[in-house]
Amino acid sequence: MTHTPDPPQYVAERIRSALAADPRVAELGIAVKIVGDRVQLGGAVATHDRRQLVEEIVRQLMPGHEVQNDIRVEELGETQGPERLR
Amino acid sequence: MIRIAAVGDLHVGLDSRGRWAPHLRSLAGEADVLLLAGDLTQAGGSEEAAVLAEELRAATVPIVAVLGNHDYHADAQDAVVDHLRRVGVQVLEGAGTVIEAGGARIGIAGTKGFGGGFAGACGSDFGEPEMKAFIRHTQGLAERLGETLAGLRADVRIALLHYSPIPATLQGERLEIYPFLGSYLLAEAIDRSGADLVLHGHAHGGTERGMTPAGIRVRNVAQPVIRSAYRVYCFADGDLACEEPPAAHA
Repeated sequence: MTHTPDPPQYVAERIRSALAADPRVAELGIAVKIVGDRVQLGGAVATHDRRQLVEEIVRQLMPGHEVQNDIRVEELGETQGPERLR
Repeated sequence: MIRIAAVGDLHVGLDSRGRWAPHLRSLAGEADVLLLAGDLTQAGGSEEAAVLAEELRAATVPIVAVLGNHDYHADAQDAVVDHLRRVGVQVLEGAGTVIEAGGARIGIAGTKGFGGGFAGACGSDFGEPEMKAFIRHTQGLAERLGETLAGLRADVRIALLHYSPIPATLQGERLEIYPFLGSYLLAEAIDRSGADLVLHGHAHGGTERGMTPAGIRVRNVAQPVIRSAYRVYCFADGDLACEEPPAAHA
Protein backbone atom coordinates (compact mmCIF):
# COMPACT_ATOMS: atom_id res chain seq x y z
CA MET A 1 0.00 0.00 0.00
CA THR A 2 1.43 3.38 -0.94
CA HIS A 3 1.67 6.06 1.70
CA THR A 4 -0.53 9.09 1.07
CA PRO A 5 0.87 12.32 2.51
CA ASP A 6 -1.23 13.83 5.27
CA PRO A 7 -3.41 16.73 4.13
CA PRO A 8 -1.60 20.03 4.85
CA GLN A 9 -4.26 21.14 7.36
CA TYR A 10 -3.33 18.23 9.69
CA VAL A 11 0.38 18.89 9.33
CA ALA A 12 -0.12 22.60 10.09
CA GLU A 13 -2.15 21.78 13.19
CA ARG A 14 0.53 19.35 14.41
CA ILE A 15 3.07 22.16 14.09
CA ARG A 16 0.78 24.53 16.02
CA SER A 17 0.32 21.94 18.75
CA ALA A 18 4.08 21.40 18.95
CA LEU A 19 4.68 25.14 19.33
CA ALA A 20 2.13 25.32 22.14
CA ALA A 21 3.60 22.28 23.93
CA ASP A 22 7.26 23.32 23.64
CA PRO A 23 8.02 25.18 26.90
CA ARG A 24 10.79 27.17 25.21
CA VAL A 25 8.14 29.10 23.25
CA ALA A 26 4.66 28.02 24.53
CA GLU A 27 3.09 29.91 21.62
CA LEU A 28 -0.61 29.51 20.87
CA GLY A 29 -1.01 32.35 18.41
CA ILE A 30 1.18 31.29 15.50
CA ALA A 31 -0.58 30.94 12.14
CA VAL A 32 0.81 28.02 10.14
CA LYS A 33 0.09 27.33 6.49
CA ILE A 34 1.65 24.66 4.31
CA VAL A 35 1.95 25.46 0.63
CA GLY A 36 3.78 22.71 -1.26
CA ASP A 37 7.22 22.42 0.30
CA ARG A 38 6.97 25.78 2.04
CA VAL A 39 5.79 26.44 5.63
CA GLN A 40 4.44 29.97 6.12
CA LEU A 41 4.44 31.33 9.68
CA GLY A 42 2.36 34.33 10.74
CA GLY A 43 1.02 35.98 13.89
CA ALA A 44 2.96 37.82 16.56
CA VAL A 45 5.20 37.06 19.53
CA ALA A 46 6.57 39.16 22.38
CA THR A 47 10.31 38.99 21.68
CA HIS A 48 12.81 38.67 18.81
CA ASP A 49 14.38 35.61 20.48
CA ARG A 50 11.00 33.85 20.53
CA ARG A 51 10.40 34.64 16.86
CA GLN A 52 13.75 33.05 15.98
CA LEU A 53 13.18 30.04 18.24
CA VAL A 54 9.77 29.34 16.67
CA GLU A 55 11.42 29.29 13.26
CA GLU A 56 14.14 26.90 14.44
CA ILE A 57 11.59 24.53 15.98
CA VAL A 58 9.58 24.47 12.75
CA ARG A 59 12.73 23.82 10.69
CA GLN A 60 13.47 20.79 12.89
CA LEU A 61 9.91 19.53 12.57
CA MET A 62 9.78 20.00 8.80
CA PRO A 63 13.13 19.01 7.29
CA GLY A 64 13.32 19.62 3.56
CA HIS A 65 10.80 22.46 3.72
CA GLU A 66 11.42 26.14 3.21
CA VAL A 67 10.26 28.16 6.23
CA GLN A 68 8.85 31.61 5.53
CA ASN A 69 8.89 33.50 8.81
CA ASP A 70 6.39 36.39 8.68
CA ILE A 71 5.89 36.49 12.46
CA ARG A 72 5.77 40.02 13.89
CA VAL A 73 7.35 41.04 17.19
CA GLU A 74 5.01 43.08 19.37
CA GLU A 75 6.61 46.42 20.17
CA LEU A 76 5.89 48.40 23.33
CA GLY A 77 5.06 51.64 21.54
CA GLU A 78 4.33 55.09 22.90
CA THR A 79 1.50 55.20 25.42
CA GLN A 80 -1.52 57.19 24.23
CA GLY A 81 -3.01 59.86 26.45
CA PRO A 82 -5.53 58.70 29.06
CA GLU A 83 -9.08 57.83 28.11
CA ARG A 84 -11.51 59.76 30.28
CA LEU A 85 -14.37 57.59 31.54
CA ARG A 86 -16.04 60.18 33.77
CA MET B 1 -9.12 62.24 39.96
CA ILE B 2 -8.41 58.53 39.63
CA ARG B 3 -6.00 57.26 36.97
CA ILE B 4 -5.78 53.55 36.30
CA ALA B 5 -3.04 52.04 34.14
CA ALA B 6 -3.74 48.59 32.76
CA VAL B 7 -2.19 45.96 30.52
CA GLY B 8 -2.62 42.24 30.03
CA ASP B 9 -0.75 39.53 28.15
CA LEU B 10 2.77 40.57 29.01
CA HIS B 11 3.93 37.02 28.22
CA VAL B 12 7.20 37.47 30.06
CA GLY B 13 9.74 34.76 29.39
CA LEU B 14 13.39 34.28 30.21
CA ASP B 15 14.11 36.35 27.10
CA SER B 16 12.10 39.36 28.42
CA ARG B 17 14.66 40.84 30.83
CA GLY B 18 14.72 44.61 30.48
CA ARG B 19 11.71 44.77 28.18
CA TRP B 20 9.15 46.18 30.65
CA ALA B 21 11.07 48.02 33.37
CA PRO B 22 12.01 51.10 31.30
CA HIS B 23 8.33 51.67 30.46
CA LEU B 24 7.10 51.11 34.01
CA ARG B 25 9.51 53.58 35.60
CA SER B 26 7.56 56.54 34.20
CA LEU B 27 4.22 55.23 35.43
CA ALA B 28 4.13 57.13 38.73
CA GLY B 29 3.45 60.45 36.99
CA GLU B 30 0.70 58.99 34.85
CA ALA B 31 -1.35 56.66 37.04
CA ASP B 32 -2.28 55.83 40.64
CA VAL B 33 -2.35 52.07 40.20
CA LEU B 34 -1.30 49.43 37.66
CA LEU B 35 -3.71 46.57 36.92
CA LEU B 36 -2.45 43.43 35.17
CA ALA B 37 -5.01 41.35 33.28
CA GLY B 38 -3.34 37.94 33.21
CA ASP B 39 -0.93 36.00 31.00
CA LEU B 40 1.85 37.65 32.87
CA THR B 41 4.25 34.83 32.00
CA GLN B 42 4.68 32.85 28.79
CA ALA B 43 4.56 29.30 30.13
CA GLY B 44 3.80 29.75 33.83
CA GLY B 45 7.25 28.78 35.05
CA SER B 46 8.73 29.92 38.34
CA GLU B 47 11.87 31.24 36.62
CA GLU B 48 9.74 33.32 34.26
CA ALA B 49 7.84 34.70 37.24
CA ALA B 50 11.15 35.75 38.81
CA VAL B 51 11.97 37.73 35.65
CA LEU B 52 8.47 39.23 35.69
CA ALA B 53 8.77 40.26 39.34
CA GLU B 54 12.08 41.95 38.69
CA GLU B 55 10.57 43.93 35.79
CA LEU B 56 7.56 44.98 37.89
CA ARG B 57 9.80 46.32 40.65
CA ALA B 58 10.43 49.30 38.37
CA ALA B 59 6.85 50.51 38.87
CA THR B 60 6.45 52.63 41.98
CA VAL B 61 2.63 52.53 42.06
CA PRO B 62 0.56 49.75 43.68
CA ILE B 63 0.08 46.77 41.35
CA VAL B 64 -2.94 44.45 41.35
CA ALA B 65 -3.04 41.40 39.08
CA VAL B 66 -5.02 38.36 38.05
CA LEU B 67 -3.44 35.34 36.41
CA GLY B 68 -4.21 34.08 32.91
CA ASN B 69 -4.25 30.65 31.31
CA HIS B 70 -0.52 30.85 30.43
CA ASP B 71 0.29 31.41 34.10
CA TYR B 72 -1.31 28.03 34.91
CA HIS B 73 0.40 26.04 32.15
CA ALA B 74 3.35 24.72 34.19
CA ASP B 75 1.10 23.89 37.18
CA ALA B 76 3.31 26.32 39.11
CA GLN B 77 0.73 29.06 39.64
CA ASP B 78 1.42 29.16 43.39
CA ALA B 79 5.10 29.86 42.70
CA VAL B 80 4.11 32.56 40.20
CA VAL B 81 1.92 34.19 42.85
CA ASP B 82 4.71 33.91 45.46
CA HIS B 83 7.18 35.73 43.19
CA LEU B 84 4.66 38.50 42.58
CA ARG B 85 3.69 38.90 46.23
CA ARG B 86 7.36 39.13 47.19
CA VAL B 87 7.62 42.38 45.19
CA GLY B 88 4.36 43.73 46.58
CA VAL B 89 1.94 42.77 43.80
CA GLN B 90 -1.56 41.82 45.01
CA VAL B 91 -2.82 38.81 43.08
CA LEU B 92 -6.59 38.35 43.10
CA GLU B 93 -8.66 35.27 42.36
CA GLY B 94 -12.24 35.45 43.52
CA ALA B 95 -11.22 38.27 45.82
CA GLY B 96 -11.20 42.04 45.98
CA THR B 97 -9.07 44.86 47.30
CA VAL B 98 -9.45 48.58 47.85
CA ILE B 99 -6.57 50.94 47.13
CA GLU B 100 -6.62 54.51 48.42
CA ALA B 101 -5.04 56.95 45.99
CA GLY B 102 -5.47 60.65 45.34
CA GLY B 103 -8.06 60.90 48.10
CA ALA B 104 -10.26 58.24 46.49
CA ARG B 105 -10.93 54.56 47.03
CA ILE B 106 -10.36 52.30 44.02
CA GLY B 107 -12.07 48.93 44.45
CA ILE B 108 -10.90 46.01 42.35
CA ALA B 109 -12.56 42.60 42.09
CA GLY B 110 -10.37 40.09 40.31
CA THR B 111 -10.70 36.69 38.69
CA LYS B 112 -9.07 34.92 35.79
CA GLY B 113 -12.53 34.04 34.48
CA PHE B 114 -12.88 31.29 31.91
CA GLY B 115 -14.58 30.36 28.63
CA GLY B 116 -17.89 28.92 27.55
CA GLY B 117 -19.06 31.40 24.95
CA PHE B 118 -21.69 34.06 24.65
CA ALA B 119 -25.47 34.16 24.89
CA GLY B 120 -27.06 32.31 22.01
CA ALA B 121 -23.90 30.35 21.18
CA CYS B 122 -22.46 28.98 24.40
CA GLY B 123 -21.76 25.72 26.13
CA SER B 124 -24.22 24.28 28.62
CA ASP B 125 -23.91 22.56 31.97
CA PHE B 126 -24.99 19.32 30.29
CA GLY B 127 -23.66 15.98 29.11
CA GLU B 128 -20.25 14.52 29.81
CA PRO B 129 -18.55 15.20 33.14
CA GLU B 130 -15.79 17.10 31.30
CA MET B 131 -18.31 19.45 29.69
CA LYS B 132 -20.14 20.03 32.93
CA ALA B 133 -16.85 20.69 34.74
CA PHE B 134 -15.88 23.24 32.08
CA ILE B 135 -19.09 25.25 32.36
CA ARG B 136 -19.34 24.89 36.14
CA HIS B 137 -15.82 26.29 36.49
CA THR B 138 -16.97 29.47 34.70
CA GLN B 139 -20.22 29.58 36.66
CA GLY B 140 -18.35 29.38 39.96
CA LEU B 141 -15.85 32.09 39.05
CA ALA B 142 -18.61 34.39 37.75
CA GLU B 143 -20.70 33.92 40.88
CA ARG B 144 -17.74 34.73 43.11
CA LEU B 145 -16.89 37.77 40.95
CA GLY B 146 -20.42 39.11 41.40
CA GLU B 147 -20.27 38.64 45.17
CA THR B 148 -16.87 40.33 45.38
CA LEU B 149 -18.00 43.33 43.32
CA ALA B 150 -21.14 43.71 45.40
CA GLY B 151 -19.06 43.78 48.57
CA LEU B 152 -16.63 46.50 47.45
CA ARG B 153 -17.03 49.86 49.20
CA ALA B 154 -15.20 52.25 46.90
CA ASP B 155 -15.54 55.39 44.76
CA VAL B 156 -14.74 53.45 41.60
CA ARG B 157 -15.29 49.71 41.20
CA ILE B 158 -13.33 47.74 38.63
CA ALA B 159 -13.70 44.14 37.50
CA LEU B 160 -10.27 42.80 36.53
CA LEU B 161 -10.36 39.64 34.39
CA HIS B 162 -8.27 37.70 31.93
CA TYR B 163 -11.08 36.19 29.85
CA SER B 164 -13.58 38.46 28.15
CA PRO B 165 -17.13 39.00 29.44
CA ILE B 166 -18.47 40.19 26.06
CA PRO B 167 -17.99 39.36 22.37
CA ALA B 168 -17.57 43.01 21.25
CA THR B 169 -13.96 43.23 22.46
CA LEU B 170 -13.16 39.97 20.65
CA GLN B 171 -13.92 41.41 17.22
CA GLY B 172 -10.95 40.59 15.02
CA GLU B 173 -10.57 37.10 16.48
CA ARG B 174 -11.99 34.10 14.61
CA LEU B 175 -15.60 33.52 15.55
CA GLU B 176 -14.96 29.79 15.98
CA ILE B 177 -12.73 30.37 19.02
CA TYR B 178 -15.01 32.78 20.90
CA PRO B 179 -16.08 30.06 23.40
CA PHE B 180 -12.42 29.74 24.41
CA LEU B 181 -12.00 33.49 24.83
CA GLY B 182 -14.69 34.30 27.34
CA SER B 183 -18.15 33.87 28.72
CA TYR B 184 -21.32 35.94 29.01
CA LEU B 185 -21.68 34.59 32.57
CA LEU B 186 -18.95 37.03 33.62
CA ALA B 187 -20.86 39.98 32.12
CA GLU B 188 -24.10 38.81 33.71
CA ALA B 189 -22.47 38.76 37.16
CA ILE B 190 -20.88 42.18 36.61
CA ASP B 191 -24.14 43.73 35.38
CA ARG B 192 -26.00 42.34 38.36
CA SER B 193 -23.51 43.71 40.92
CA GLY B 194 -22.49 46.89 39.09
CA ALA B 195 -19.06 48.25 38.20
CA ASP B 196 -17.52 51.35 36.63
CA LEU B 197 -15.07 49.57 34.35
CA VAL B 198 -14.21 46.04 33.25
CA LEU B 199 -10.69 45.20 32.11
CA HIS B 200 -9.63 41.99 30.41
CA GLY B 201 -6.96 40.57 28.13
CA HIS B 202 -6.53 37.16 26.44
CA ALA B 203 -7.79 38.19 22.98
CA HIS B 204 -4.66 39.42 21.19
CA GLY B 205 -6.52 39.92 17.93
CA GLY B 206 -9.51 41.64 19.52
CA THR B 207 -10.69 45.22 19.91
CA GLU B 208 -10.09 47.60 22.82
CA ARG B 209 -13.56 48.98 23.48
CA GLY B 210 -16.95 47.51 24.20
CA MET B 211 -19.67 47.47 26.83
CA THR B 212 -21.76 44.97 28.73
CA PRO B 213 -25.48 44.54 27.96
CA ALA B 214 -26.22 46.88 30.90
CA GLY B 215 -23.85 49.54 29.54
CA ILE B 216 -20.73 49.07 31.69
CA ARG B 217 -17.56 49.93 29.79
CA VAL B 218 -15.27 47.02 28.91
CA ARG B 219 -11.68 47.47 27.76
CA ASN B 220 -9.50 44.74 26.24
CA VAL B 221 -6.03 45.73 27.41
CA ALA B 222 -4.14 42.79 25.88
CA GLN B 223 -0.75 44.26 25.00
CA PRO B 224 -1.04 43.37 21.30
CA VAL B 225 -4.34 45.29 21.24
CA ILE B 226 -3.21 48.46 23.01
CA ARG B 227 0.24 48.28 21.34
CA SER B 228 1.98 49.98 24.25
CA ALA B 229 3.23 49.06 27.71
CA TYR B 230 -0.05 50.12 29.33
CA ARG B 231 -3.19 52.18 28.77
CA VAL B 232 -4.44 54.78 31.24
CA TYR B 233 -8.13 55.24 32.10
CA CYS B 234 -9.20 58.28 34.08
CA PHE B 235 -12.16 59.16 36.28
CA ALA B 236 -12.32 62.90 37.00
CA ASP B 237 -14.94 65.15 38.52
CA GLY B 238 -16.25 68.23 36.71
CA ASP B 239 -13.84 69.98 34.36
CA LEU B 240 -10.73 68.53 35.96
CA ALA B 241 -8.29 67.50 33.23
CA CYS B 242 -7.13 63.90 33.14
CA GLU B 243 -3.63 64.71 31.96
CA GLU B 244 -0.96 66.02 34.29
CA PRO B 245 -0.31 69.71 33.59
CA PRO B 246 2.88 70.10 31.56
CA ALA B 247 5.92 71.01 33.65
CA ALA B 248 6.68 74.72 33.59
CA HIS B 249 9.86 75.64 31.73
CA ALA B 250 12.58 77.29 33.82
